[in-house]
Amino acid sequence: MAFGYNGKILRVDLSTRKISVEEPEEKVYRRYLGGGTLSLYYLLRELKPHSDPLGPENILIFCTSVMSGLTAPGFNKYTAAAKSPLTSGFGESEAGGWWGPELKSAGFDAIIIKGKASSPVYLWVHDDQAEIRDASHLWGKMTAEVQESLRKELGDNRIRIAQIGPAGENLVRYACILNELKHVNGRAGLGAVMGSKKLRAIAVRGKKNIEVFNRESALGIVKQLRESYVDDPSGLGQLGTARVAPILSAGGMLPTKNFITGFFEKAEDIGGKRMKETILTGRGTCHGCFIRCKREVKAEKPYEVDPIYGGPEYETVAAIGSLLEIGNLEAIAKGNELCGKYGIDTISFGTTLAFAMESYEKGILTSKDTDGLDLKFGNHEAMLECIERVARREGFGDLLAEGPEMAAKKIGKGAEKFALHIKGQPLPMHEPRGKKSLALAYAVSPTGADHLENPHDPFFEKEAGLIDIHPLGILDPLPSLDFSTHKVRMFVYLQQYYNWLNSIGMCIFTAKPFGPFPITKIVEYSRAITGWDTSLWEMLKVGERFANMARVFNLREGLGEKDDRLPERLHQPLEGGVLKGERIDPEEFAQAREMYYGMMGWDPQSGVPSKYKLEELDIGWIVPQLSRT
Amino acid sequence: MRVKVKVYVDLQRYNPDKGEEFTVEIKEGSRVKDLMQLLQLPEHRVMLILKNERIGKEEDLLVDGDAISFLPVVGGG
Ligand code: SF4
Repeated sequence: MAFGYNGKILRVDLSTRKISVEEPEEKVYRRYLGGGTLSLYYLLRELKPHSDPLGPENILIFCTSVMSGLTAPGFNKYTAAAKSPLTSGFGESEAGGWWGPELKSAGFDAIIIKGKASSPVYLWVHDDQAEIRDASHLWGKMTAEVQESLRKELGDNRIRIAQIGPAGENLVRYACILNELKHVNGRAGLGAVMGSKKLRAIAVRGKKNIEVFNRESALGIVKQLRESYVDDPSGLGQLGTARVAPILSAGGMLPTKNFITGFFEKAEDIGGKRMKETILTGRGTCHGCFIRCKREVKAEKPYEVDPIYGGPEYETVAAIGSLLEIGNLEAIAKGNELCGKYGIDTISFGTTLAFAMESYEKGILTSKDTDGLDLKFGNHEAMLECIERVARREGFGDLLAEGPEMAAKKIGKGAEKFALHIKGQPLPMHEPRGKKSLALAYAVSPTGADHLENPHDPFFEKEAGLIDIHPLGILDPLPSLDFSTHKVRMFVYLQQYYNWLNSIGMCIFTAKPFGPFPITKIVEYSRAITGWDTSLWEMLKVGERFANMARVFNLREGLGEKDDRLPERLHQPLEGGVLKGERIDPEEFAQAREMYYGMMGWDPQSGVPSKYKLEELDIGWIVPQLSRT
Repeated sequence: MRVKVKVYVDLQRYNPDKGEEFTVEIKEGSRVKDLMQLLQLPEHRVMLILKNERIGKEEDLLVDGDAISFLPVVGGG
């Protein structure tokens, strides 16, 4: 009997309109758990290398895990995965909320979507069944309208809906997928993949309870966590993720003016505390989570904001705030709402617009190129206008919709220097020059610049800060600016830890060192749920399996060592803030990367995994794929 | 002597009634670490110390009128 999972994967071919159900054996679940790892198990088997990411041959997977949907805080994420139209490599992005848990209640652990519908459709998944339905009447509509129409049409207000917006329909390369209008699979352009399949939404509803091996023990763990948790008035739950913007600015690490500086003079104005004092109307949460870090905001004219789309996270207040030198919180909240309406990743949009603003400032772009928009840094009106033009791919917006890498290529004239991306994925809002492991994380992450590869260095500067990660065998504190072999080892261990959390769909804010869930308790909880006699060893092996599978996926696509690089700007000194002058030394970076490859059991020069490593991880079946790279 | 203190968000939990910015009376010859002890700020929760808007250290000597900020650890996400 399966505990924690359904044992059923839904397969949908939109070209042939065929729907089927696969029942993988228990060992598949135990080896790959879920999330990105289970997605890669299918992608590596079924997706042909060099497929067009926006063609019918791409495969889009929605994957929960053996743990998602449980009552403990944080077990609500699901992964969307496919070949990314931004990087042409492995694309994945996780979202919280309720959609993942609801999919499990509807009887499925994952959905594998192939092909392309001939006209717009949506998928209706409920109580062990699925059907493809016409969505012509929804095409072109804003996301809130679609959510309302679908709930009416299907006659149930509690239906959970993951969908794209008009930006995904228009194949904006950084279009996102949203559930409940505010929980977002933001990165990697997976909204464009869904749009290319003419799949507007997936509505799910189910009433199934997930079977748990030892309910008493599982509930006991949750109770303990709940009792020990303090809802600190100045912490994550009360002030949200955006509370860190002023801290990072004071510490010289808030991405500002396209990463030219780490200090933004209006940082206090866009932080979580100011949000609470001004536009916050309530706190939101995800399935089973008592931290409640999500925001609900409301603003009046001229930037009237509908609270249904939630409020901006830290990444958003930085990406369409400090990065563009915009300090108007209402305008940022409006930008967040527009991105939600149209289905655009706020991070990628911000980094793309910052690129355009710097190109404009340097005279590479003029108002002729921008259809008359005055793209100077700080112009929040222009920022709001650009969101709409990008979503509709209108005029200059059509160029920005390609993302910084492709837009820079089209513009030429040296614009590449201002395009801050790795493998095509626009940089997120964390500054590697102030926390060196992040330089490595950004460069080697299989999905391109990703800030969720590991918990960042400042946690681990003091002995007492290591207590949370002692179970991983990390015993020596290191300064944030250290970039030695010891830092690389710390990163390798922490990366496998986060790869595991990703595989079980756990929100990082609920796990140590951020949140209340100690590492060994997560293992204990996993044992109680699944009934497997498992251990931290086995779980971290899954993390490593993920890293190797994603690496092989990228190598098949021609992405390798040459792509594990940083944009030149990060090798240049920060121009302002208390870390002024700090940079990533190219030599140090090259050594760290070589050390990382070696520690991972990959060729230290080429970064290709050895067949021995793949065999050791029990994924010998992908060894033949290496010869095709 | 008196020093001005600013404690950013998460670190306010150790002195909940003092708020974000306040002044502290501390004896001559004290160092930043003495101030941290006085305010019961655990060192591993402090990411950065700013002394008069520059990076400071726990060992730094305080003088009357210094402005000290404590930034909590933030680590991604
Ligand atoms: S910590 Fe925040 S994002 Fe994570 S599960 Fe809880 S409410 Fe959702």
